[in-house]
Order: sequence, then C-alpha cells, then structure tokens
Amino acid sequence: MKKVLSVALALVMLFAVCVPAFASQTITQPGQTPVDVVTLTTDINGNPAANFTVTIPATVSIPWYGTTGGDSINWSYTSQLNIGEQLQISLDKTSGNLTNGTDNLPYTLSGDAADAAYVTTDEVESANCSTAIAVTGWDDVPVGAYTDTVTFTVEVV
Amino acid sequence: MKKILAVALALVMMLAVCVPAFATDIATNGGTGDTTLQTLTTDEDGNPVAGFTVTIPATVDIPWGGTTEGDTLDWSYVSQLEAGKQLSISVDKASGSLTNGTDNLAYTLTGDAVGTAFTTGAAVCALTEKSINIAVSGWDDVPVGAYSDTLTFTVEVVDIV
Amino acid sequence: MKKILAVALAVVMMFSVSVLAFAANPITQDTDQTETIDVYTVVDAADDTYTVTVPASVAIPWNNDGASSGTADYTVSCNLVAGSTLQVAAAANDGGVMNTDPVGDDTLTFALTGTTEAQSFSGYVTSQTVDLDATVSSFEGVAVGEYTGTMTYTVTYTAV
Repeated sequence: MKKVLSVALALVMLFAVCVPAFASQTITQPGQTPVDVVTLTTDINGNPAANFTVTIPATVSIPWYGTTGGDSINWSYTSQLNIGEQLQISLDKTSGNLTNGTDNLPYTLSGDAADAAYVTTDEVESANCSTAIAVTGWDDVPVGAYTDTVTFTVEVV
Repeated sequence: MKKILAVALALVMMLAVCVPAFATDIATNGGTGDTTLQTLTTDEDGNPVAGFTVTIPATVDIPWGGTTEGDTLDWSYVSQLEAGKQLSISVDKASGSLTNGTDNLAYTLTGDAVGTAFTTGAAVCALTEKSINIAVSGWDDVPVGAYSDTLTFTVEVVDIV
Repeated sequence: MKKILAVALAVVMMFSVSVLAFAANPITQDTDQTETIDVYTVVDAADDTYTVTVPASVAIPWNNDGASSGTADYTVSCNLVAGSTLQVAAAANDGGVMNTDPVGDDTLTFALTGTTEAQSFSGYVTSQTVDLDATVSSFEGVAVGEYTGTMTYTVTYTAV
C-alpha cells in the first residue's frame, strides 16, 4: 500500500512539474487555429518587471547667506510601473533647523514634494524635480557648517 | 613587479576614496533616502564670510585746555566670526606725550583696550561703540600750538577661552 | 478418381481463399506443382493521417532591457500516401498588435521569428518540431501589464 501511495505521489508531482507540456492543442483537420500571444508582468527569471528609480542628492551645500537665485534640493525620477500605478514621493519635514550643535539656522522647504506629496501622473514617466530651501538668520550665528537631514520616502500607489 | 603592485594598490585606494556617493537611488516600494543640507563658510562667490570691522577715528581733535566733559577717542566694533572665536583689541600705549617737536604735553589714556586687551567675548557681536578717555595735562606750561601723537590699535581673532 | 477429386478440391479451396487466384496460372497436372502469387497492399488518400500540435497560448516574459520571446514551436507527425502533402504556416494577426483588456493607451507589437516560412511535409514524419518564436523587440515606454495579441496556425492538406 505504501509503495502504491508513493508511486502515485511521485506521478502527481511529475504532472505538476510537467504542466506546461499539457498547454498545447492538437490539429488533425485542415484549417486555421488562432493562438493568443500574451506578455507576462514578470521577467524571464520570474521577477516583477515594474520598476522605478528616484535619485536624490546625498548632500546639498548652501553658501553662507544663500545663493542669489535660491537654493534647492534637485532630484529626479524614472518609472515603468504596472498599469494603474503611480509613484508618490514625500518628505519627512517642510521646515527645520540647520545646526552646528549649539546654534541654529531656521529653514523652510517649498515646491516639489514639500507643499504636498509628489504624485506621478503616468505609469511610464521621467522628470527632474526641485524642492526650494529658504534659510534665515545668517547674521545671527557664528559662521560654520550647519546641517540637517531631509528624508525622502517613495511609495507605489 | 613590486612597483606595479604598489601602483595598482594606490589606484585601488584612490578609487575607494572616490566612492562617496553623490546621489542616492531609491528603487523599492516604501524605500527611503536622506539628503543632508549643509552650509558652507564661504559665500556664493567662494569668499570667506567670517569677518569683523573695528572702526577707529583717523584723528582726534582736542581743544586747547581740553573739553570740559573730557576728551575721548571713540571707536566701535562689529563681528561675525566662526564659532569659538572672538576679537581681541588693544592700544599700544596707556600714556604718552603730545609734541610739537620741541615741547610736550603729557597725556594718559583710560578705558577698554588700554593697558589690557579688550576681548569681545562672542563670535557674533552687533555694532558696539566704545570710548577711551584722554587726559592731557600741562596746558599752561607750553607754547600754544599743534601737539600730536599717534596711537596704534591692534586687532586679533583669538579663541574664546 | 482419388487424384481427380484431390485436384478438384484443391482448386475449389484456392477459389475460396483468394479471388486473385482467377488471375493466376492454374496448376494442373500438366504444369509445375508450384506457382508464385504477388500480394499487394492498396492504399489511397483516405488512409492519410496527420497531427499538428501547436501551443494553447504563447507567453512572453517582460524585459525592461530589450527584446523577449515566447516559444511558438509546432510539432508535426504525419503518415501520408505518396503524393499527398501537408503544409503548416504561422502568421501574426493584425501586424502583431497586442492590447490590454480593457484596451488602454499603450500597445506592444510582436513578430514571429525563427522558421517563419510555411513548411511542407510528406510521407512518414514522426514528431518533427519546427522552431518558431513570438518576439517583442522592445517594452520601452509601456506600462507593465498583460498585453494580448493573436497568431494563427494554418494547416493545409492536399490529397494525392
């Protein structure tokens, strides 16, 4: 009995592996036979094909007193998502303080991803974006390197 | 062979140093990335911004016999230095003689920066006005005329202790 | 008398076994005791058989970096009389256009690659596979999804 069951189980497993071999049709009469040709949403290795990249600068250097034309975080993205999907890019803050550990330089952010989360309009899209930085109080603190960190979060929605 | 290996090693080390990422890629759903905002100590033209101004008069006119309220040398300073720095201002003498080349009128100075250097105590100082008192004596002992002397101010940037 | 009866019986038996015996030279006591008989099989186009096996569907994996293909091989087995022929052809429908369901803004296009010309078969063929692929040359600029197009296999049989 055990041998019968084990053979039966082996056959079932073989059939499971061989399923693609049954995905065919037999023609024994002349005529036309249509066959669907369908793309998968995965690549040849079975990995999801939808992809995106959001590129942000590691560091933004702001000259003392700021830049005449304004300072900004320049970032970009490219996407090829599944049908109906969009990218949503957001920041963890819209204002803060650059600090040297003792003194602070207040700043605010505006523009892309700051006023509101940035949402792409198409599944396949590429663009360059800019988030403006406005720093105040330059004359009130010792000259030095003041820093703060802004965190970008990217989601597929 | 050793030279080749040494050069190759140097190149590898240089490449390792050059790796610091100038950009971060976020490519996963829910992924995050950080951008550091950092100020420079130079302006947009690359010029150092830390600085100060100590303003001293080119001349101080003292009426013969002196001013009733007293004569003074008025000076001022303003600074925005790097953190941990302050100004140190000093005058080269606490007393001297105004001279016409032949006769002398003795004078003494009192106030900040006289005798002991004056330190501002902070890296950032708003415009501050200072005054050194000038006391001249012996007006009746010398012929009336133009008597003069020169004072030298020295300004240094020093650490705040 | 017995010999006559034996010969007569032999002749009757020959008549009952094979009609063709009427075309053969009779064996008589005056002839050789043996004679040859040629036996032939007779076939016609009605005996022709063939099987063409094609995929139920062709799946093409997505490729963000270039072209990708799905297998559209077909296999032919046939047993045809001399002079009968079997021809198998494959073609992409509507220029190979592929759409989503429901139809969206993006489309893809596939083309047949490999042995794309019609193939002819005759005689006795055992499981001969013809290499054929459906290929999408680029997925660039298209939202990822299931895009469907159609290809048609045409089997033409000509009897002798």
